[in-house]
Amino acid sequence: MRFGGFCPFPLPLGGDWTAAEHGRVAADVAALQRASEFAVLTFTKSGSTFIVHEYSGQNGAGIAHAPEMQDYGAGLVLLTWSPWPDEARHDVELHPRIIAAEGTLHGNAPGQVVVTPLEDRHLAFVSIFDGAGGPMDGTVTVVVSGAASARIGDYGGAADKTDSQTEGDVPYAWTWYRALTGALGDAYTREMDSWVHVEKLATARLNAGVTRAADRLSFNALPGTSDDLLSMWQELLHVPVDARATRHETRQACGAKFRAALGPTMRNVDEALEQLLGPVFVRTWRTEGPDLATEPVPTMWPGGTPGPAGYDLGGGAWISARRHLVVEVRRPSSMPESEFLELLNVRMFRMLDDMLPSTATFNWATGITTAGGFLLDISRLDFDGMT
Amino acid sequence: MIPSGLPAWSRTAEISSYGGSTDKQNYMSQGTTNPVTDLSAEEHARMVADLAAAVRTAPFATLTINDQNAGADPTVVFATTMATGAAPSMYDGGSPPLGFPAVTRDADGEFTITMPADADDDYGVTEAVEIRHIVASLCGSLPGFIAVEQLTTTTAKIRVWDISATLVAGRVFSVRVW
Repeated sequence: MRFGGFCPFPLPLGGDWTAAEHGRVAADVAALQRASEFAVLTFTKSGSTFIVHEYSGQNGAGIAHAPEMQDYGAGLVLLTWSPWPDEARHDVELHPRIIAAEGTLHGNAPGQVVVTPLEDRHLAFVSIFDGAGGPMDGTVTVVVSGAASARIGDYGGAADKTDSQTEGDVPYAWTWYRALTGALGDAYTREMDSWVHVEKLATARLNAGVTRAADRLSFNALPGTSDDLLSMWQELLHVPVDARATRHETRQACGAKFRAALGPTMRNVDEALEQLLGPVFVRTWRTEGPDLATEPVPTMWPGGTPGPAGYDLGGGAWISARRHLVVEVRRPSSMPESEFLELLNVRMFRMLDDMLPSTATFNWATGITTAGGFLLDISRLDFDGMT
Repeated sequence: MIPSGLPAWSRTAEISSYGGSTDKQNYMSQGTTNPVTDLSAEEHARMVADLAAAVRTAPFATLTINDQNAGADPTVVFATTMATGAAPSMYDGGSPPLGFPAVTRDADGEFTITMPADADDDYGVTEAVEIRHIVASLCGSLPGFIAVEQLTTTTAKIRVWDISATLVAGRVFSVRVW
C-alpha cells in the first residue's frame, strides 16, 4: 500500500522503503555514477569510412548516440561527443568529461590501440598500430571513462534522513479512502474497479493533499525541516549561498544556524555540529580538568587565576583550556579535500564563530585518539589531532 | 512481482525502467512535506537518470585468465564483476560453474571465450547474453600484443603474441565483456 495512487510524490520514506534503504540506494547510485565508464563503442575504420557496430554510453545506447568520427589518416581517428539532453530534465544539456580511455584491437593479427583523451574532455584520439608499429585501419573497441561528481544529496540522500512519522507506514490518502468507504456505507460498492472507487480515490487524494499542506506548514516553520521556505530561512539566518551545495546541505546549514540561537550549551553545540557536518562529524573534545577548582593546563587569567607565568601572553590577554572546543572530524573518501576544508574552515568556522561566546576558541582535527597532543613527524600539523 | 524493464546486460536501461519520467512531478506541484523524510519527484528523477546512465555502460563480466599450464585450458583467476554474481573461487576455464564464461585453449596464444547464452537477474528475469563489446589487456611484466575477434554473439577468440608477433603461451590477461 506504500506506493501507487494512494501515495503520490513526494514519497514519504518508511514502511516498505525506509530512509535507511533509500540512503543505501542513494549512496550506491552515487558510487556507481562516479566509477562507471562513460561510453563503450566498437567500430571499424576503413579509410575515411566508419562503421559503428555497437555503442553503449551514458548519453544513450545505440548507434545514434555514438560520437562523431573524423578521419586523420591511416589508423588515426578523432572521436567527438556532443552534449545530450538530460534524461531527467529535457531543458538541460549534459556534457562529457572524459578523463581516461583505452582500446583493444579486433582481428587475428597483432597490433595495438592507443586512445588519448584530449584536454577538451569531449574528445578522444584513437591510434591503431600493426604488430610492427605502423599505422593501420581496423576494428577496435574503445572504452572511455568520465569524471562524475554525483552526491547523495542529488538523490534526496542526507545523513539526517529519517522515516516519516506521519505517512511512513500508512499514506494519508489510504486513511481518507477508508474513512470515505466507511462513510458511504454498504449501499455503495467496494470494488476497486468501479466508479465509486474512482471518486473515493480522487477525493482521498485531494484530502491527503490538504492534510499534507497542514504538515508542510508546520515543517516549514523550522529551517531544519523546511523545503518551500528554505530560501527565506537562508536569508533570515544569513546562511551564505553556495552554488555547489545541494538543497539538503543548505537545509542542514540553516538548521544548524538556527540551533545556535538556542544558546551555546554543550548539547546544542554538539547537535548543531552534527547537523552541519553530517558524516564528517565524529565528536567534540572538551578539557574540563580534574575538578572545578583546579584549572586545566594551559590557563592564564590575569587578575583572576593567573596560572604559570609562562602562559602569560602579556597585555592582560588570557587563555583557558576550558574555553577551547576541539571538533573531531573524519573525511569520507568520497568527499574531495577542497570540499572537506571548505566545510570546516568556512562553514563550521562561521557557525561556531557566531554560536560560541567571544571568549571561547575552537579548532578541528582528524584522528584524535586521546585528548590533546600530536603524532610528531607523522601527523600533518593543523590537520590531524595531536596526541 | 516482475520488475519493469530488462536486466542490465540488455543495454536498454532508461529512466522509465525505474519509474522515472520527465512528466512525473510532485502531487499538486508542491515541494516535499518534510525534506528530512520525503523523496521528491526531482530527486527520484535524478536518481533513476543517473542509474540508467551507469547501467548502460557497466560491463557484464570482467575476467582475469591465467594460461599457466601448456596444453590445458587456462584458469580463470577472477570473474569478480559478473553482473549476475562473482565466482566463489578460480576455476578451470574448460569447466566453468553454471552461468560463468568458459575459456578454452585452442593453441599457443589462442583462446576462445564462450559466454552463457542467457542469464537471470535477481528476480529470475532471463535475458539473452550478447557480446556487444569486448576488450582485453595483458597482465604481467612482459611486452606483447593482444587482440580479440568476435566469432558469434556469445563467443570470441583472444590471441596473445609476444613482442616479436609470435603467438605465445603462458601469459596472464584480463578481458572485459559488455
